[in-house]
Amino acid sequence: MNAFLWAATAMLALLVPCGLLAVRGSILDRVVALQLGSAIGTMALLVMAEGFHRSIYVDLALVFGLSSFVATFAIVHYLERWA
Amino acid sequence: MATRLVVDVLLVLAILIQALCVLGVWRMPNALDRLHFLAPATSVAPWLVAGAVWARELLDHQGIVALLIAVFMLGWQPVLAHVTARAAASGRGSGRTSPEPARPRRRVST
Repeated sequence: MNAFLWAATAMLALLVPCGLLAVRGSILDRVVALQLGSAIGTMALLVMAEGFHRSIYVDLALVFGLSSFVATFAIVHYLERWA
Repeated sequence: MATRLVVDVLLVLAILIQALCVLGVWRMPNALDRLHFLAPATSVAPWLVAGAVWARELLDHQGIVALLIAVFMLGWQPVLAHVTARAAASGRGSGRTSPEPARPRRRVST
């Protein structure tokens, strides 16, 4: 294992507290945990691409970052409109 | 050897920053306080990871996309934090876990 794979392992482990908070907290806490988890997941995909020498994972990280931004924006926009 | 050292240092710093952000998000009492800890994880750590990728790959496909991701996260994450803080400040969704059923609208008789 090289340094990038160790880093990917550590980042994937950091997703566990985000997931727990996304399960337990209020809705806004869940949104914050989702934002942090998507940022860490994007970074994990990036370092996995470098660790495994698979450039397709880099494109996956880019698409994941873009789609998680749109998804989080839609969720927060929906939350704001609750009466 | 120097490249490997630079990569190791940058990756360790990125993981350290992300771990501190996760700890802060976990420990803070409410969503507005938790939002403050999103900034380092989305504006500093991606640049450190992009720097580590650049140290090995320079300007090939992975290096360019890593830079693109870092720029994208630096630009859009403040927008998301602002929108989330606005929703938190309006007090909506702060304590509920599912949406309330819609109330029927009253008709105004003229």
